Amino acid sequence: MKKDYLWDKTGNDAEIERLENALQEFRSKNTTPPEIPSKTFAFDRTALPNPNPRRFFKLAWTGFAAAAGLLIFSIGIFQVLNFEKQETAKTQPEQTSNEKSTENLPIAVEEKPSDEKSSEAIDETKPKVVKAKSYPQRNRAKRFVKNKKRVSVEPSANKTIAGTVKPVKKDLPDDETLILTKEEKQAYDQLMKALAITSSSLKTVKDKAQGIEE
Amino acid sequence: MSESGILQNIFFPARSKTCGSSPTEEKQKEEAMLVERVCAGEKQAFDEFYRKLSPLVHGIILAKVPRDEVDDIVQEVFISAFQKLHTLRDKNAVSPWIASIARNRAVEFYRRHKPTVELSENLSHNGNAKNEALEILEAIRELPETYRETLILRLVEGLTGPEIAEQTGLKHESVRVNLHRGMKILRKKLGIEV
Repeated sequence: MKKDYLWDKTGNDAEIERLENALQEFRSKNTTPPEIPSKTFAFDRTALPNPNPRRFFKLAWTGFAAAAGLLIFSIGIFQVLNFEKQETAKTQPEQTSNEKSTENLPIAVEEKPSDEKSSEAIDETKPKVVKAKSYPQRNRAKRFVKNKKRVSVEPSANKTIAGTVKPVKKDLPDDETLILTKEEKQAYDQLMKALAITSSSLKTVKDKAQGIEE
Repeated sequence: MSESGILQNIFFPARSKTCGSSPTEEKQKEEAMLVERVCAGEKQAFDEFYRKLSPLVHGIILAKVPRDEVDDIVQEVFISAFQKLHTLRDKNAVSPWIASIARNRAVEFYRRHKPTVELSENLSHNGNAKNEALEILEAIRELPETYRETLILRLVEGLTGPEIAEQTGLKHESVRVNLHRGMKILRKKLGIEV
C-alpha cells in the first residue's frame, strides 16, 4: 500500500514533519470546556420546534380539496341519477286508459252512488275525498316529474269510478313516506356515504388545524 | 443485532463481517449517543463533546480569524452549539454541523470588527523558530479557503486526512486533493523545494 504521510501519517516526510513541529504551538490546547450556567442545562424538552406553517397549510388545502372533490362527485352522481329518472319518466308511454291513470296518480273521487249524482250539482271547488290505494312503486316517481299532468275529473252517473274518472293531481300529505326504487335507494345511499366521508375529512382537517394552533 | 443487520447477514454475508456495521457507522452512533446525553443535560457528556470537537473548531477559526481572538470565538461556538443542539435533526452529523457554526461565527467576526493588521508577537526577543512558525501560518492563511482550512487541520491540529473528511463532512477524495494541492502551493510560497 502506497504510503502517504500527508494523508494518513504513514511513511515518512521530513518536510511535512518539520512544518508540523513548527506549527505545533498554535494547536488547540484548551482542555477546559467553557463555563455554562447550570440553568442552561435544564432546557425545556417539551418545547417543540416551530411547526412549519407551510406544511400545515399544505395539509389543510389537501384536505379541503379532497372534501370538495368528493362533494362535487357525489352531487354529480345524484344529478346523473336524477336525469335518468326524468328520461325514463318521459319515455314511458302516456296511459290513456282510465285504469292506468288511476293507478298512477292520486285520485280525487267523489264517492257517491250513481243515482244521486244526476240530481245534485257538482261543486268542483269543494275538496274531494281522497282514498289512497296501494300504488305500485314505479309509478310514484311521477310525483317528481317536472311536467306534471293536470287532469280534470269528469264524474259519470252510470260508470264506475275506476273506469271513468280521470285523476286530479294532488300533493301528498307531509306525513306520507316516499317509496324509492332500488336504483334510487342505491344512489341515495351512495350520496349519504359520500357526504359522510366529506364531513369526516373536513372534521379531521379542522381538528388538525386546531391542534397545531394550540 | 438490528433487523437490517440480520437481513444484511442473509443476503450479503461477505459484507457483514463485523455485526453489519462499519467503523465509521459505529463512530457516528457513538457521536449520536453523546449528543443525546448532552441534550439530556449531562455535564460530563458536554466536556467529552468539547474535547472531541475542539481541535476541529479551533482549526477552522484559526484559518480565518486573528490568533488573539481564536480562543474566545471557540468558546462562543461551543456555547452557541450547546444552545442549538436540540434543533439538530441528524445527530450522526454533529461534526459538520458544528464546523458550519464555526465558519459562520468567523464570518460574523469580520462583520463586527474592522480588519486590522496583525502584528507578530515578541518580535524583539523571540527566536527564529517562532518567526518561522508565524511565517508558515501566515503563508497558509494566504492560501485559497478550501486548501487553507484543510491544511491547518492537518498541520496545526494534527488530524489525519480521513479524520478531516469525517469531521467536515467532505469526501475522502476531496480532502486528499485539497491537502496535496494546498501543500504544493505552500511549498512554492515558502520556497521549499520538493
